[in-house]
Amino acid sequence: MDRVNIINSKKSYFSSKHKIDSVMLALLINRVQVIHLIIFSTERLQYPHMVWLIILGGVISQLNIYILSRWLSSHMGKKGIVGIFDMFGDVFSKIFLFVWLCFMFIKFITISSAYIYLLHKYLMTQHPKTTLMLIFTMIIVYLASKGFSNTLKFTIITFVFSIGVLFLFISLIISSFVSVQDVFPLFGNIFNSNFLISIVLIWGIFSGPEYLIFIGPYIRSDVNIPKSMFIGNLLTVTEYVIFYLGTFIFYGADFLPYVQHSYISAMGYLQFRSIQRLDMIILPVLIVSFALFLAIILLSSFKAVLYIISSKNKPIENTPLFIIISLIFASACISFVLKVATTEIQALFWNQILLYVSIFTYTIIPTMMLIAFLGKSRRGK
Amino acid sequence: MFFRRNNKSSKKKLNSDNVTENLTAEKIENLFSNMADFNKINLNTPGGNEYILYFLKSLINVDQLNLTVILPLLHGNKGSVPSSIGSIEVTEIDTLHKAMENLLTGSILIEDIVQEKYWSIVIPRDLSRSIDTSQQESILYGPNDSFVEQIDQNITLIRRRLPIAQLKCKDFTIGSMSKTKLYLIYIDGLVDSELLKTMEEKIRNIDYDVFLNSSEITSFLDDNKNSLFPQYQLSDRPDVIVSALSSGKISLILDGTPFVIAAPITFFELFQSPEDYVHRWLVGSFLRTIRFVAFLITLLLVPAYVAIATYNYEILPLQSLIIVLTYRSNVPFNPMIEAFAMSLILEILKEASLRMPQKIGPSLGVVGGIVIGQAAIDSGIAGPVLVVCIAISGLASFLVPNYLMTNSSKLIQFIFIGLAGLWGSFGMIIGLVFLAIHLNSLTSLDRSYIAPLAPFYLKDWKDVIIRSPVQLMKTRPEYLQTQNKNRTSSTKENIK
Repeated sequence: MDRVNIINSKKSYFSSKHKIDSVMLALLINRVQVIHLIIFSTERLQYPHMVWLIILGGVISQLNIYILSRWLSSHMGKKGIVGIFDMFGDVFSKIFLFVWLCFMFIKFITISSAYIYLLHKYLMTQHPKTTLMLIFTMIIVYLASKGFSNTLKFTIITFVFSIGVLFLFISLIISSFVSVQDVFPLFGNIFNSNFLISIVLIWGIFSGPEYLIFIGPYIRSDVNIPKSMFIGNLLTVTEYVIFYLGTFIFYGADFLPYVQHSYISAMGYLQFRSIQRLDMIILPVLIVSFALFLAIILLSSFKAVLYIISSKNKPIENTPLFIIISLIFASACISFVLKVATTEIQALFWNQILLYVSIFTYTIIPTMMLIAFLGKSRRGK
Repeated sequence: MFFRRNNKSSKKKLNSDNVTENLTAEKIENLFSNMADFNKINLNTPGGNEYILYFLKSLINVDQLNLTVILPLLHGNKGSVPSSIGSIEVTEIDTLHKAMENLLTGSILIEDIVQEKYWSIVIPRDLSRSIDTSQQESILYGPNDSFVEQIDQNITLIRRRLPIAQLKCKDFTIGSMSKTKLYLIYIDGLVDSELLKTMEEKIRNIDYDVFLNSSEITSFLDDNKNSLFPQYQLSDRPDVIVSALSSGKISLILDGTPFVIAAPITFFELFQSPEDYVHRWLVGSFLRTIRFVAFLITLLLVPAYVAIATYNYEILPLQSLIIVLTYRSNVPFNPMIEAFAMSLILEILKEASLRMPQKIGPSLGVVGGIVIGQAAIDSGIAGPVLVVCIAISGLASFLVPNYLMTNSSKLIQFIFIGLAGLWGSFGMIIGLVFLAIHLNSLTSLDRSYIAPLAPFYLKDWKDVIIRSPVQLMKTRPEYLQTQNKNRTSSTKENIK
């Protein structure tokens, strides 16, 4: 059995001496999915019976999760990025990694700017977005600088920090002034004019786990990967359902379509007798989930760059290169909020781009894995 | 390069130890010239033997010298020194280096002129003080003895509590000048061999000239040298160290200091006190929970005041907000400066009370608490709400049993005040996130500092925030990866 303690390896960003267990893996899947809910929210689904669509999305997502878990459990998946080379060969792997790097870059920029947009809009209106982005990227780079093992280990802290939000949300929806009848009818025609938009949105909010294809070497060998990932996805579905029905109970079916960012704005109504604006605490706390996901993307990008510029067996891993890549990502994010996503309309446009990128990657990556697997097994026969 | 060259030359000079140089009387006298406590006694025995005794009077026990060395030599026959002395271990010395080492560690050197041989006998002066109560970790109920500066006495205190043959003690000498004795203690068959190997490797890599206290060693053993958090436990209580050893930890005892090191530790263990196990488990759990809350109060209360008074007015209900802002309206500084100033004054008072003679200490508390606090409010330097927050957080900081942690938390509080002043609640959370990332990556002897949270060990949670009844704590902490996980003997999984 592998040792489960995780050390701060100063020698390597990618030391896999200490690995994650099943609890961490399940929570990791859950956290990387949930950030998409925070960004996209679900107010566009409009009808309570669309909750079945969320559940259906969860079931289909489970297929994707299963394919990814098979990859991570496979001999090649356990090698991480080296496994990609084994699967696709040297030239195709480098092409794949380059395209993959482009998507990670886009995802990094759009997700970070989406969070900064929310933070700026709902809490830090008096501060420039560039300052907020600078702080945010500093957190991501700091987390990533601790190495892949420690970043993945941070999942537990992320969960501890952010799970309270769900409980607070539950307390909000069971408070006295809301009406349960707003969640009815729970059955209806889901194939309405809104169906396509809804399915696209739901597929988008389940994305995220496809960016974990390199974490194979960091998972303990005794972990039942499909089971852990299944539990993680199940947690996400539960969270989404609670949240979705909660927004109907809280806002009411008539008012909900007029609400923007229902996840964030619902928090504005959370209050205790001694603390009236809990959202002032909750919104910054959500940063941990974003930082975790983006630090994983940053480290994956760093690894991809290493393997693109060097051969499969001799990647030259060094801190200056990590700093350069971090600076490129950070400055791209700052330029993005400074020049490209300045207005509300631009921000919404980039949110749409993020949604389509998420849908694309969550569809393509597992499909590619499946095809490659099938091809490999056919060649084996 | 310049420094490196300098280091090399100094090393060469210090290590020109005449390791193999032959021993002569002249060389000994030259080596110890200009040392007032260096003594040389000529001894002509009735049996016809001639001896010269060399020793440093300040380091040896003179009474024992007379009784166990000089008298037997005078009355001894013509045989060698070991046969004359008999009862004490006598070692033959043949190099100047060995002679010097022995003389400087409390031995006498006997030159047998007839046989042309040199002998060494260890008779160190006993400088230990009597066993006293622990000043740093005093508890109301429970054992009151504490370690002293004498290393062997400390071993005795541990062995009395753990009379088992598996309690092993490896000795090391550290410090090129101080030659300080260091004992590595562990329970064989219990401690993880990987852990032991790591510790031994770390000790062997220590390279420094003088070691005077345990903290100096920990700075060489730390996994993260720049962290604010202590990565090793220092305790002067034998019961704490015995408890650590029996859990499967390693202990280090340094000669000349009463503080013994236990490793590895976790962040949560810093909040544990021996008294938790004296109380009923519910009371113990309650006290431990208060300590965690107090730690959060220390870190966050004053920064929260700054955040609320600067940016986040809406967090508080109107009535509370009016109180804060009305009293603050007379203060000319912004909340961050106000909080910095008052926190600094508190730290000055704390430091002053530590350095002052004990009899003046309480008076200083009165002066600080009443005069400065009240005067600060009256003169408009600070609002009364802030003074209350500062006082509460100051008191709360002392609830953490580990004093090193107390000081770390105060420094973190200053950083949080700055962040809260810059960005309000967002700044505070940013500080917490950075802190969490740091703690997440921190290790103590290569073990996760935040175990059993991450990695998550469910069984270990019986003794983290809640102190479960002792009967339920049948297993040793999982993060230590001990060879024998069970504390009960019924499992037949005994220590090897």
